[in-house]
Amino acid sequence: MPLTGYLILSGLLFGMGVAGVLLRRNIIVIIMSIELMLNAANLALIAFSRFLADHDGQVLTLLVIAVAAAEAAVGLALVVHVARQRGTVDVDDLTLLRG
Amino acid sequence: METVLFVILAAVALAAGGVVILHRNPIKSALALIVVMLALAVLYMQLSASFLAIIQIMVYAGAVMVLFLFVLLLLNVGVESPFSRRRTRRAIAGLVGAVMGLTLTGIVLLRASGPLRHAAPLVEKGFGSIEAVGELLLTRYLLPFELVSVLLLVALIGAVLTTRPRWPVPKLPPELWPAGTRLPETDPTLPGEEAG
Repeated sequence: MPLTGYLILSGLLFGMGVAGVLLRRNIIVIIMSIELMLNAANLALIAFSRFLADHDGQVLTLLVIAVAAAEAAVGLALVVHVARQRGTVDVDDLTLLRG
Repeated sequence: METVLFVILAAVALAAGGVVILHRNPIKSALALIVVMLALAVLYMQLSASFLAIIQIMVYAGAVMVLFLFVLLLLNVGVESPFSRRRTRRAIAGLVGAVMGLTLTGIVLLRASGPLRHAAPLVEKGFGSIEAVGELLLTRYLLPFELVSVLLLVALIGAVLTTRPRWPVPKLPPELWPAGTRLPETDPTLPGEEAG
């Protein structure tokens, strides 16, 4: 399989993640869509790493996975806090910052 | 064989990705996201990134997704209409996602000349092994590696402090209280015991 196939799959998954972030109301599913986008980026990095026969992309992917884990932990902690305070995880109802 | 496996895995990943963003039940979305991650892990294995495939399964499909499912169960998120109530916003969201994905794939298809269409170059046997990645991680990428440990520590402390409902009050017996301590019941501004 040439590199093109992996890049196309990565691009489609990334587009799905963008659509999910914009489409969904549940804030947890929005964070899941962000994880989907990060996974798409990881796939592109690893595919390039393989086709350039260079390990740098894999190291970068490892760092991205660690950052994504941290992001998920803090993001979900905020979600839990918001749900406790306001009783909802619906982004259409969380309009405190709306001008 | 390799192409067949790629097509199957890509189809599984895309179908499960569609379930993630479209299913009404957030739990089903999370389970579909696990399927996406497992399919990507097999693709990593095919790209001779065996160490990252294991990491993907352990960290992503394991730890991160367990965290998601745990929060979903903790908050008791119900099944409801998942999309925005406004029809125009839904249309714009779908359009932006479709345009973004199609633009990315379109650029790849249109600009794919020469090396992008070649088969993968041959690599030595240990490519993508834990030794190869780890050596690079501890030499050239030592600083980012160490910074990630600081980031994880900060995220850990931040997550604990964010979800903690109130500051903890140590339960000391009265004879161990510092001199001049007031009883908590007499001061309503002090946090009580019912926090939890």
